[in-house]
Amino acid sequence: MKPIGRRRVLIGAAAALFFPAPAIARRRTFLFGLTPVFLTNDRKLLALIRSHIAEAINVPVELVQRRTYQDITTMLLAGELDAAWICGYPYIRHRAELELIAVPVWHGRQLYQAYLIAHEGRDAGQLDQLAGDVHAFSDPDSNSGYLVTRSELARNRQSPDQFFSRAFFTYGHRNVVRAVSRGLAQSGSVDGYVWEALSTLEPSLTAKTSIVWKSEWLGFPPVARRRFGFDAGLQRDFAAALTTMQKGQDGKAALDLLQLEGFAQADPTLFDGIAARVSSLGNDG
Amino acid sequence: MKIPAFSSLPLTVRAPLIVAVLMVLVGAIASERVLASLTATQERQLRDLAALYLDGLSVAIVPAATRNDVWETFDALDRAQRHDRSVRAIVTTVISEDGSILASSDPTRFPTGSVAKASIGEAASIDALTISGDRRTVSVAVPLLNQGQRVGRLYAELDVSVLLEERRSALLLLILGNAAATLVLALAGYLVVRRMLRPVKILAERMGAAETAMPELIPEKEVPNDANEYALLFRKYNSLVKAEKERKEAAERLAAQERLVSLGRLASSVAHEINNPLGGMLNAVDTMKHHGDRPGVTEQSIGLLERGLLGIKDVVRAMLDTNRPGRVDTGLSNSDIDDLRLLISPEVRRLNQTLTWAFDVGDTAMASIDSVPARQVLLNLLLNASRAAGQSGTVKFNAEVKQDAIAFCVCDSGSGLPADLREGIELGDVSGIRPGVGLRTVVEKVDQLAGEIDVCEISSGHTAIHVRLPLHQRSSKAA
Repeated sequence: MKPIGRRRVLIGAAAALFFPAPAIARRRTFLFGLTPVFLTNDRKLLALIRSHIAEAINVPVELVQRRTYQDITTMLLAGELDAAWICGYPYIRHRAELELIAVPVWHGRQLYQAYLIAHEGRDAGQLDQLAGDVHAFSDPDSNSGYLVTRSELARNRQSPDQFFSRAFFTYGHRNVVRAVSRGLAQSGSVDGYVWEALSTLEPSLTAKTSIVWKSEWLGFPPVARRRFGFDAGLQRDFAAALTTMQKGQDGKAALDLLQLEGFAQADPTLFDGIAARVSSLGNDG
Repeated sequence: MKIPAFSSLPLTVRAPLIVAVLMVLVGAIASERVLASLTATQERQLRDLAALYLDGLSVAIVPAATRNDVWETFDALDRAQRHDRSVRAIVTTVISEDGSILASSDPTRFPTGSVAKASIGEAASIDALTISGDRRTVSVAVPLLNQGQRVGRLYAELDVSVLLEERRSALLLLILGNAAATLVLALAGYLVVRRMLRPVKILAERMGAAETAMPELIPEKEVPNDANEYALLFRKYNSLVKAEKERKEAAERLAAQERLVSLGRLASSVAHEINNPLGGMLNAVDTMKHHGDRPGVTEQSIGLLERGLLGIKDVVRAMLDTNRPGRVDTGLSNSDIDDLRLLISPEVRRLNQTLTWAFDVGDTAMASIDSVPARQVLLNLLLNASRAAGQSGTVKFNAEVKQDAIAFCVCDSGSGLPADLREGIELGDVSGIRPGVGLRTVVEKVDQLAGEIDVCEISSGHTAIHVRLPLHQRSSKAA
């Protein structure tokens, strides 16, 4: 065994003194946050995602779930998570602190639409016809589940509180569909990808709803990390795990359940549409 | 179809019917008590389950209701809907303090933001929950409290159809059970009573047969061996039958004796009647022996003999008419009344009595009365009157038509009838009449002729016996 030279030891000690390793890097578990973007209550799906990532990065993985987007976003910004699957809206709001890792591919593109839905048989084709409804939003930090509808109303200088008789948050796109389907809300703002996926998985749920309006194509909810204080090697492995997900057995199964084709790297300009909507709200956004 | 009166039904039917009615009554009371108890238990169970369910639900929804969180409230209400409970919540609704609906498990009926319906305000509290009639749902409301502060109300409509079904099943089982028990007990009652009354039936048949014939003894093998009431009754009945047989035999013996006595008296009377003309006839024969050669003596004697023989002939004919058996009865006539006078006359003359005879009834009127028993009645009464009147007494006989009957009256100047004899005659009870006076025959024959008899004292101390024989009794008897 070749002895270690004095110079190398000194250089190493100085590096340890002036460049301490981030706290996350020392953790033995990779913490991956999930917002209620999709079927986060599917334990089988969660197990497949965890299994695939853990195998790919060779580190145990913990999937962290919270009720709201804000909880996950806050944890990610505070360095309590290594990465998180968040919505495009919080990514745009915190794009200075956050960096894209990968964006899902759905129907060959990394785009999706926001839907306005109403109860089955409702004769409505645009937002204006939903005035006075009891309306269900998904989450105040959701693009499709709140921002799109709010920004559409803002164009007419209206707010949800003024436009709807009552509006409430369900903190889940599936819950929005459920609320409209059961008649709790007369209309709702929902992720178009989620609605389409549900129409395959739970057709009885979406069958009692109808699409009133669809937004333009917008950037799909991305997986992001903090721009600083991360284990570069681990993050590289994690990004590779996502982008090669369709090649692993568990990863492929997870993608099938998610009805996605895979993950791919993306340019931040993908979210310009969302950024524009945020800008349209001015300081309120 | 006419329904027979209950009292006219046989005891073997009445007893099971009474058992059945009592069973139905007891069953109805018991069923009512059981159902009342079941209802109380179900209502207590309903209150307990409702309290448990609503308390648990309140804990889950109070935080959301406090925040006015529509979705969380709905989600909690929706997840609490279960369909495997005996008391199931059909709908649960949270009403905010401002009276509007916050969320309901059935948003179609209770839309979020709408004003709560009046029916919600009328919902009972848990303590006042009851199951009434056939209502399959009950409404209940409880306040939602957060740290003692009221944040709204939780309204629920509970499906109690399972409890109603339980009650209905219990009622059905009670009805079927009671009906089966009633049927079995009624049948058992019928069989038991029928068995118990079998001796009574035997006794009733025997007594029924005794109405038309001499009662028969119940064979010893049919008498129950036990020392119970029926055995005693059977033995008493047999004792009665034996006593009746002995009484009848005694009566027959007495009647035979009486007939002999009457016959003796009649024979004596007839002998006397025959003896008188015989004396004259013998004198005529003697006169013809000694003075037959005198002119006119023979013709006079022969005339005397002829009158004597004719007198004897009349007496014999009267006797034959009165006593000849098998005689065809042609109805009472004046010749019968004349025969009676003829038959009584010797006795009247022998005792030097005065006979007053007043009779003026046409044959047509009397023809409807059987002559043989009527002659026996009147002859016996006349003979008795003559004997009662004594030496130089008075005997009166008269008859007249009164309405639909002929009233005969035989009166004598004797000392009167003894009280017991008089009562026996008037009541038609011959058992107490001593033999030898002919009155037993009188009573029996008057009864045979469907007549009436009574005795009265006349002011002068004389005794009068009135016999009233109805007219047309022959035709009515024939009918």
